[in-house]
Amino acid sequence: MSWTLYGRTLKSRFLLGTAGYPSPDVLRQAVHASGAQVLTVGLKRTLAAAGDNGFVAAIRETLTASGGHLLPNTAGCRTAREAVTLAQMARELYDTTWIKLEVVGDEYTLQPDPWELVSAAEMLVKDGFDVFPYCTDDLVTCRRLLDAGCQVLMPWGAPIGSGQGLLNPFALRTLRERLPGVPLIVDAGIGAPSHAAQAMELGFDGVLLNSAVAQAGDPVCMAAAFGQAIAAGRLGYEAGVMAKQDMAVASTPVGGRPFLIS
Amino acid sequence: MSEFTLNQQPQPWREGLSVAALLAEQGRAADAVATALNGAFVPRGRRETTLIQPGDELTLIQPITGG
Repeated sequence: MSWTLYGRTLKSRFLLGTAGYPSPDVLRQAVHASGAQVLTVGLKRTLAAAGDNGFVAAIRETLTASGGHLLPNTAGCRTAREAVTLAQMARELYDTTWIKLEVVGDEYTLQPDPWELVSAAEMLVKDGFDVFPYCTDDLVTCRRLLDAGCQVLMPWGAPIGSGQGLLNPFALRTLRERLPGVPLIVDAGIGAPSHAAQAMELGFDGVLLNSAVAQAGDPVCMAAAFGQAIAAGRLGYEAGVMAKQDMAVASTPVGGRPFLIS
Repeated sequence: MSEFTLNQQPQPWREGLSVAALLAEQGRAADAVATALNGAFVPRGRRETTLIQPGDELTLIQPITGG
């Protein structure tokens, strides 16, 4: 069940965001319940030396205990130049070459800008980063990102925070079929554990989500539910889902009719 | 009076002010923030020698939670 991202072997296929939890303690418990070994974090401008109510400390403590990895993001960037600068700052602050590359091209949908994304990816890979691009499910854009040196792709399931699930399973299935061997992670738009299981059954290698857990009535319980759904979806994919058929096929073997009652 | 901006807030400028000196004046631990000047990253090792000029835009970034 283990897999590898940029040379690091992971057991869990669940990547969890750390924003929007009710408290640092709930976040800590949710991470533990999820089994996630990769946690996303962010960066913000700061004027005063104000704290963050202990959230970042909770993340670091949890990761130290679990041996997991931080994945900083470039949320809020609109251009490749902004994203590259923010990635460099993230590398220094978090002491990791991993970066979740986000370059948004539309404020309404928060859809990634493919041109700026590819441009930023090229620059970051040359600068020694391990780039996790948040992208759409467009096959050609994904290929350009691989050409740029990305070894992982993170296409959206639906717009960030929308909880709509996989809006275009056909496109995701196409990515899986056309890019064999490339680690694919569905990132964004997941709302329910069943959505995550569906992504895994399509053959995706992992799922990254945040709001679906943080905004749940019980984030800790939901984190556990997603952990199980993702593991179950992966097992189902590895086991091989049966082919669909239009008509019924009897599952009980019978020879003719059991009774002839007229 | 000449000014520069710190995260978009105007600040009085003085000659010889380095990024490192400004952080010290602000009471910011060196490893608690990352810095960029006019949109370009300034690594910790170059803060002492990077002098702020009038009209410069200095950005301080700190870790937060994220998705």
